Amino acid sequence: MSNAPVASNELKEVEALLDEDVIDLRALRQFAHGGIPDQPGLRSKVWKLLLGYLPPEKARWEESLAKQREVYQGYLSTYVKSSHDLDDDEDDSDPLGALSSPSSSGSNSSKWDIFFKENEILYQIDMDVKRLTPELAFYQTQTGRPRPIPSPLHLRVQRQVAESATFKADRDGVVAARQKRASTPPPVEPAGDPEAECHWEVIERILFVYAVLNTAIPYVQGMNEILGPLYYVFASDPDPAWREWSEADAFFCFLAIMAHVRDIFDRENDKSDSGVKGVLNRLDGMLLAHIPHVHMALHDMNLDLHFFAFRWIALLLSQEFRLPDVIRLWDSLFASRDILDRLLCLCVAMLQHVSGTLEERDFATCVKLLQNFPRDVDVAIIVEKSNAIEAEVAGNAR
Amino acid sequence: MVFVLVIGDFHIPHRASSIPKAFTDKLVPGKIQHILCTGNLVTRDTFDYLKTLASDVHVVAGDFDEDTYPEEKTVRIGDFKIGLCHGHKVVPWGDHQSLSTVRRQMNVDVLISGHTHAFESFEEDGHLFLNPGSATGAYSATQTQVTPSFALMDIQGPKIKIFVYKLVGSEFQVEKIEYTKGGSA
Repeated sequence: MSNAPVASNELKEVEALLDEDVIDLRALRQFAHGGIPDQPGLRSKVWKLLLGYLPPEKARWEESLAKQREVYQGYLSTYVKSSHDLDDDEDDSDPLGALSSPSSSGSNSSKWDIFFKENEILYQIDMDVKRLTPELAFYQTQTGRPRPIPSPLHLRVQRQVAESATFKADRDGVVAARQKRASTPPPVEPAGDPEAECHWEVIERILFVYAVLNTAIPYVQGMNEILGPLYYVFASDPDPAWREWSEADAFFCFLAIMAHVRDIFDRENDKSDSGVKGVLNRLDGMLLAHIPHVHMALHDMNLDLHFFAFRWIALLLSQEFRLPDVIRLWDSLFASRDILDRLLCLCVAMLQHVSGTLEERDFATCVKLLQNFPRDVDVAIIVEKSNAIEAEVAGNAR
Repeated sequence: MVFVLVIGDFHIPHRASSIPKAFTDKLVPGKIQHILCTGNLVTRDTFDYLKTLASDVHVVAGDFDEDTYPEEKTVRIGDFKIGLCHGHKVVPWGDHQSLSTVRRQMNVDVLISGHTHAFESFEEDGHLFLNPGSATGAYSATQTQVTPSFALMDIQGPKIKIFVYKLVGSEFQVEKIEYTKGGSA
C-alpha cells in the first residue's frame, strides 16, 4: 500500500459502505482487511467503527459520541488532579503523613497516599511517553488546543535539578555570580501558544486515566506503543470536529484493543492460557501445523519464541515496521473479530516470509533477523500469506 | 505539584545527636522533588542524608558548616525565584526589615533564611519570607527551648501551599499556610 495512488474504485466501494444508514460491519471488516485507502479522515472513522466505538447505525453516532466523550471528561475531572486540588476540603492530613508510619494500615489510606502511589505509575508513564517514537516529530508538536486541566500532569513527577545561581554580594551589590542550568533543559517549545500542550502530554493523560481505572493491570511498558499510532491516526484527522475529541476517542478505542490483549500484559496471568505463555504456546502450535520446517529449524537452534515473538504480539507489531506499514497492518488486525487470532496468523506469516534464512540454522543471524525484522518487507505480502494461514486454521477447526 | 522541602539548622553533632525519629519517619524518598537547606548541617553525613530524600539538594553555608557551601543561592522552581541564605550575617538576626533588604538585593520572590531556630513566615511588600526553624531543635544563642520544625512547600503556578511540621514535646503538629505570588489579595 503506502504511497501508491488509491484506486478510485476502492475508495468508491468504502464510501458506498459508509453511506448506508446502517453500516454493514461484515462488509466493512472484509474491506478493511485488504487495507483502508489513505484518504484523509477515512481510516480514523473506519477504525472507530471496527473497534466498536461507533455504532453501525449512523443515527446513533451523535448520541453515542456525546455520551462517551462526557464520560471521559468526567474521568479527567475526577482523576487528573494536581496536589492543590486535593487539598481544598477540610482535612487535617498532610503530604508526608500516614504512608510511612507503621500504625496506618491499608484501610485509612489518605488521599495523599493515593496521590503518591499514582505518582509512581505516572513516573513510569512519563518516562515512556517522552521517548515515544523519537524519529517522529509528531508527538513533540503542539495540539493547538489548551490543556483541559490547568497544570500539566508531568509536573507531578518532574525530577530535575532546578536552575540555580550562587553569588556573593557586598553592600555595593552583586560581586560574583555563577549560574547553573537545570539538569535537563526544558524541551524546546515549538513556536505557538504557550498554553497549548504537546501530543505526548495527551498520550500521557490517556495512559494515566487508563492506569487509574484499571488497578489490576495499571500500566505496563509497551502500552504507550499501542496507544501512540492509534492516537496519531485520530489526531491527524482533517476534520476539526473529530480532531478536537481525539483524546476521548483514542481512550475508548484503546480500551477496546486492550480488551483483546490485556492478559498478555498481566504478570499474574503469565502461565495461564490467555497469558504470555499460553499465547506463545498457541503460536508454537500454529508453527508446527503450518510451517513445520520453520518450527523444526527454530527448535534445532534452541531459539525460543519469547526471544522475539513476545514483543511482536504484545505491541501488536508496532515496533517491527515503519509507522505507515504498522497502520496498514492494523487495518487488518482491527478488521478481525478477534485481534489476537489474526495477530498470530500474521506472526506465522512473518516467520514464513523469512523461512529461507531461518533454515540455514545460524543462531546469531536468526535472532538478529527476528529481533530486527527487515523493514523493507511489503506488508501486503505478509497479510496475503496470513490469509492463507487463517483459511487453514478455519479449515482445521471445522 | 512540585514538592520542596525546606529544612536546616541541624547542628549535628554539636548541639543535637540526630534528627527526631518522628521527622525521619515522615521523610521518605519519592515524594520530595527539591530540597532547600538553610545550612548548619554541620557534617557531611547530614548532607548525605538529605541526598537520599531527593537528588536535587541546595545548601547555603551556615556559620558552623564544615563543608564549603555558597553564602547565598537563588533557585528557580516553577514560577518562583527563591532566594536562600542562612541569615547569620543579616543583623539584627531575623529582623524583617533587614531580611527585606536582602530579598531586594537578591531580587527574589521568596526568601528563605534560618539561623534563629524559630519557625517564622510572613509577607512583606507582597513577598514571602520563610524560616523553617531548626530540624533538630538545637539550642541557639538566643533561646534554649527550641521546637524542632521544618516546612514543605507545594508549588503550583503562582501559588505556594506551605505545610509546617513541628514537634511540640512529643506531639506532632502540622500547620498549613497559603501564599499567592504578589501577596494575598
